[in-house]
Amino acid sequence: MDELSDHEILAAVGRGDQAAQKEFFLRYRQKAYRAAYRLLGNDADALDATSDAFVKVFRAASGFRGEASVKTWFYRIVVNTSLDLARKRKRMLSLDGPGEEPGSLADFIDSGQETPPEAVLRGEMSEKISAAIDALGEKHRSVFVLAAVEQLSYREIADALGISIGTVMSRLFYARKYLQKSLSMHVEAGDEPVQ
Amino acid sequence: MSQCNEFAEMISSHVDGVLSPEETRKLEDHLVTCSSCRATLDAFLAADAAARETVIPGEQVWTDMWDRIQSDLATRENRSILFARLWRGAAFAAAAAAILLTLYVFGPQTRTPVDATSRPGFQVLSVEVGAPEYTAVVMNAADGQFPVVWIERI
Ligand SMILES: [Zn+2]
Repeated sequence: MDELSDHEILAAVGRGDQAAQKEFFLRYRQKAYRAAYRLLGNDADALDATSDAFVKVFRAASGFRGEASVKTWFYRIVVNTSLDLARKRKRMLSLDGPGEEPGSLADFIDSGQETPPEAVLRGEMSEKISAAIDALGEKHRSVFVLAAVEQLSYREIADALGISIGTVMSRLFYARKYLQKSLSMHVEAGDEPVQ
Repeated sequence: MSQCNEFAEMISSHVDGVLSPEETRKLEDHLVTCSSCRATLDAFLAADAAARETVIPGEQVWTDMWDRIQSDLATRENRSILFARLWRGAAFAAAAAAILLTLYVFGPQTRTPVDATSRPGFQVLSVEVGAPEYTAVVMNAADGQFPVVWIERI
């Protein structure tokens, strides 16, 4: 089973083969969790999204078109499932705020007027990066997670998210500028005496 | 500074290792002379590295997840996001009305009726309401004991 290609495994999943399901789960569970964790910002939601993504994958396996890449198809499902859950959580908490539109993101980077979220200004590096990623709009966050965390190629990201390579590159650049600014403001804020 | 703008996006591509040899040389020449762009490169690399650090769940977590996936797969139909069995009578009517009202408030819209007759073991009680993303169907279970509200993502 472990020498089969992803395509062969997925085809077997589509035929209802449970051993193939297990093999697919073993191959992709870590990737899915890592991406979901960075898209959602916490462990409990990441586990929920990962689990739901595999359910969707197994149900949809029989309809998978052989010419597509299993990897990008899988990541698309993980990203969509995670973002759906993130939106649901935001609605539940009524925390809808700015940061989704590229305009406001660019403004933040260019102007230096706005400040990053409170959580970015305190806490350890892992908390800071989580809060800073969380503050990215979902479009920029998705691209950043697939590139920086999952290390997909620009082509793979473009396919997974249904956008052009040029859009991948510009979103990735803006995401990194945003994170750079958020994280460096922490350092500066830490250096200054508290008013 | 205006020169740095030219290199800004290149630094991001450099982090991903997709620059051509000539572009790489050009960027490296600039980095030697520009501390601002060097700081940008360091910051990009640091953010990427920090983002890659995640705790990996233990074996028991994966085992529990596997069980949950199998149990989710075993529950009836595809794409069902909510499958609620409700007691018949007043409680059922009130709950169904509340759900339908919610759907209506969130987006009244007429949709092609769901082919509920294709669901074996259920007798449709005729209520079908569409919202932009969901369709609700109220049915009787085969045993006639419990009415069922089915909400399906479109
Ligand atoms: Zn420079």
